[in-house]
Amino acid sequence: MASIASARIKREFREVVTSDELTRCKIKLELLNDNFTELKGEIGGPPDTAYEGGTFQLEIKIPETYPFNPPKVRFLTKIWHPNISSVTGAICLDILKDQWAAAMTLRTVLLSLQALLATPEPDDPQDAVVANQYKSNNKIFLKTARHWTNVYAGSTSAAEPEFDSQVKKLVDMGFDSHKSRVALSSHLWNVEQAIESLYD
Amino acid sequence: MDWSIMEQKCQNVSSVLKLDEPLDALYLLKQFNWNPQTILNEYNKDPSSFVKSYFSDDNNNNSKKTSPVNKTSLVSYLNIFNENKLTSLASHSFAIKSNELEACCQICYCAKSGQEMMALEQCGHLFCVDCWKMHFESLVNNASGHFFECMQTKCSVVAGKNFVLECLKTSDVNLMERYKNLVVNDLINESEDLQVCPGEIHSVKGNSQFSTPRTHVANTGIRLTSTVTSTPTVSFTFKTESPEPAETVSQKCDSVVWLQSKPGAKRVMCTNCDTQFCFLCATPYHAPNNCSTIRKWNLKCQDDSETRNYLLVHTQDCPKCKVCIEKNGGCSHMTCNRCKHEFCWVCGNDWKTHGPTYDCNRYKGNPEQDTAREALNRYTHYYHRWINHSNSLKFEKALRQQCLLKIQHKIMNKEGGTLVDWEFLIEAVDVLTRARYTLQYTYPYAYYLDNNETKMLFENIQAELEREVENLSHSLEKVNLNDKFNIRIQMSIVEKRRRTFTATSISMTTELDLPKDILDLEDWSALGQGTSKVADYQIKMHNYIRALYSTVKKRV
Repeated sequence: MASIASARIKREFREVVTSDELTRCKIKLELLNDNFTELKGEIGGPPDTAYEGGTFQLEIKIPETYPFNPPKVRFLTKIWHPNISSVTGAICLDILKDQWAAAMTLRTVLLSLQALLATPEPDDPQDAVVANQYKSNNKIFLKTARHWTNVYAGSTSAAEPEFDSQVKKLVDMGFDSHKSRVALSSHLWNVEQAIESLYD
Repeated sequence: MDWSIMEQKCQNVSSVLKLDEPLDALYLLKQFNWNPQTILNEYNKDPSSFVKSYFSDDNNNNSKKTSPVNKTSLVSYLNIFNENKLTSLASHSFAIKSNELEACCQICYCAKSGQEMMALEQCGHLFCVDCWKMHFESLVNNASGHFFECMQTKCSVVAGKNFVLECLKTSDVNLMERYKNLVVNDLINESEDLQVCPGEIHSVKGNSQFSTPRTHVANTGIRLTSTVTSTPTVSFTFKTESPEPAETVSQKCDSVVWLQSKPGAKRVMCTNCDTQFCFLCATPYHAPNNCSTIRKWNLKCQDDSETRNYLLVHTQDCPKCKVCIEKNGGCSHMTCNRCKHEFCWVCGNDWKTHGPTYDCNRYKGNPEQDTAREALNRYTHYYHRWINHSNSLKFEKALRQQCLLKIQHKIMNKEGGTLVDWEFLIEAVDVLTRARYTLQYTYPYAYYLDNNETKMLFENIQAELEREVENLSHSLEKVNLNDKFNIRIQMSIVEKRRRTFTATSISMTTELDLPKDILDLEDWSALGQGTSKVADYQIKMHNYIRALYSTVKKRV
């Protein structure tokens, strides 16, 4: 069984690396070991979204029963998105669970993830806090997502300087900068509420 | 596997609703949890709107709301059940094999010959046999339902039973069995009128010539009990597998029982192994307790340590000479082998005190003790009696065999009479077994009853039944078997008491009026013909029922 998995990955790896379409879409795939069980993926944030300009790293683990069971994928880069956990990077996407089909490839997975960044599904959330914000306060959601892309995914476009200064306030109080950012993001950038949650 | 249940259900629905497509019947059955009766009821309410909501294509959205299953997947679902159609169309129908000489499988990226490529008829997505096999193997191992979809992206065609089995034929035999079980289990879980029999099949060596009276007597028994508990149902069974019966070995029955009467009937009997069980929770029949009470009780009993149970159940010291005694029969009337002291196994008192005021069934609390110990003692009291009866039931199984041997002996040695003359003995053992079974299940019930007037009444009747059961048990084990008349009287009394008891405890729980036939005591006189004992019982019973009846009335 394992031989099918590695044969498939070998072939898929070639497919992704050489495909023109994929370089256009800013998609990369990198092998982490020789037996094709662990890979690193990279997708570029889709244009005209809060994730534009960012590069997102993915951890891909190939199960022994691949392709009859889906690969295990999670975000290594921190991201603010309703279907991706802001804490663990776990992804809620049907094709990575029960909708997986053996005919799918790593290429389809990476393209689907890129599509997920462009069209979040707040009704099927992985991160309830983010999903709630997406639905009730979309403006702040977009700004927060852009801010996270800027800080964690290396985007150079429109930073949110006021967010930076708020994070700095908390850091000056002695809090960890990432924890401060999470607290502020979860409380609509209300400094008092964020501090309260950090003390809990 | 036998899909006759499925086919019968489809035919039933198709013929009443006059459907041309067998597929439509299947579609409806899936929507209504495989219950033809609900479909017919719905249809009879308003035929035109029923047809509109389930068969009009414009109303696709509506039908989607009622069920998560869409019609396309049901098209392939038909394959799983309609085996006849598939076998008649022979092997090419379930799979399209590629005509090309060489092809590349899109799953394993290996070059394969056309012969090795297969696809489902409905979608035609070609993959190699090995990949199909591994696909199904991983799905069987995940064990989440039996809807096995095509491997193609976004293709939701479900593979038919024969296709899956064809692919799995080269893998482990266990996997094929597990796949079959997945299909059957899904069907049973979704159906309100199917249940797996929890019984066991016992096969005992020898005595085959006496197997005929056994079935005969069992049948009479059912007729006798039919008036008090819920209607016994005629059930139809099919076997999921046919294991060869080994000698003196018991194995799980596992037949699927199809309820033929109205849904909600509780007591059913498996036609394969004759086990009576509660249809709702698939455990041994537990009247007068309801399903949740008996589950609570069984959980409680499981928690206790095995050693304590063993000592409690199997041994006791003689109250007089203190020799350790192990119980070797079903009767609670014990006679110590050493000192000949006669005592009651259950309460340890002298047997003579049991005479007219039999009350060892009643728990007498001791207010001096602290509550924790009190609670434990209370539980132990009921548990002791419960397990004692369950143990005696096992002995009575052996007693039945002994009686059969005795009868055989009598007939062989020309001691008079034929099989017909001695059949009553077997009948008596069956009456005893039934009564003891009921009695056993009254103890968990009493444990959960509140201490009030109702419980007092309940325990009075329980005591009566208990005493009669022990009398009969004693007569059958110890007394001269020629005392036919006495045994017959005791038998009738036990059966009457049992019926009264079940009826009254049911009316206590449901707070309904007593069934009329309980108050009709005319047939009592027929059996005693003036025996003072019987007359005495008549009066007592009458009084009990009167008292009970008035309390029930008051509560209503």
